[in-house]
Amino acid sequence: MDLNSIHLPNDNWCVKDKYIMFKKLHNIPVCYIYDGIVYVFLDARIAKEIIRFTKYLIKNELGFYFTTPLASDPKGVENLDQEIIRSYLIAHSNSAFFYGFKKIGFNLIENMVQWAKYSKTNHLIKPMYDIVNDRVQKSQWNYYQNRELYLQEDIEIRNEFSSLYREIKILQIFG
Amino acid sequence: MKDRKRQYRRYMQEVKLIKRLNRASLNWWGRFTTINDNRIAKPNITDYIGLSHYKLYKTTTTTRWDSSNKSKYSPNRFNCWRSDHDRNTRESDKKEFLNILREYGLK
Repeated sequence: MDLNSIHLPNDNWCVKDKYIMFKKLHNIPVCYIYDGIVYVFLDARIAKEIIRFTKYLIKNELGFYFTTPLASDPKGVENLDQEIIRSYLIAHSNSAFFYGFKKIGFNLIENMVQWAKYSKTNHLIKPMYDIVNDRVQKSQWNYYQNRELYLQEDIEIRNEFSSLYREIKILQIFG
Repeated sequence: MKDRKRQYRRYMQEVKLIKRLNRASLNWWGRFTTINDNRIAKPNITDYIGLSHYKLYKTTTTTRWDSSNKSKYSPNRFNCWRSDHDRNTRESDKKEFLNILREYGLK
């Protein structure tokens, strides 16, 4: 499989080095291919394009996993597996990705569990989930407005995260 | 002089925005957190996308004397912070209506 075989929708998309890029002020990497598998960057800067690209990959039945935007840095990343799982969960807490993937009928968490099984990093899911869940459920009492203010404003995402680990466990056993 | 079209004006706006973001990134001191919640040492211009800075550095007013104080694109876009109650727009009304529905358990 080759990068040039992927159909690019318009002039804003291009192939450069080993990445497919999307131009928004500057070229931002969208995906790369390694070992016949497409790795898509979960970048919230171009969330709409990532969702559209995912839809294209599902339609053409191409195998794909997601990865952290830090992986495009030529300097490299410490604890790459950990960062990838963290970026999956961070993207799930992002409203653009949360509702965007829901709309196209794609389960991001199922993809994460599949990736963890593929790379043998199941043990990293629980500690990363704890960190991201703490961040999502973080709140502060505002005395001036007399109400609780959450870091993640969307109540649907907060409710989803409170029972997410149970869903992950079910997917690990039966998925 | 040749008449400039919308595409050219959009391009010039982008050039301005890049110039401003570039200046901001050169003067950045300390750690920077992107929209993907990644901490980096020194930001590029693309790292500002999705953050409040990106909106702040965009040109949202005109240069003409009669409309310089008006917002250029829509009443939802401002350079400064304003509370939702001051806006009186369709979007803020919709948000308020959704909150009421959630309060009574209808949504």
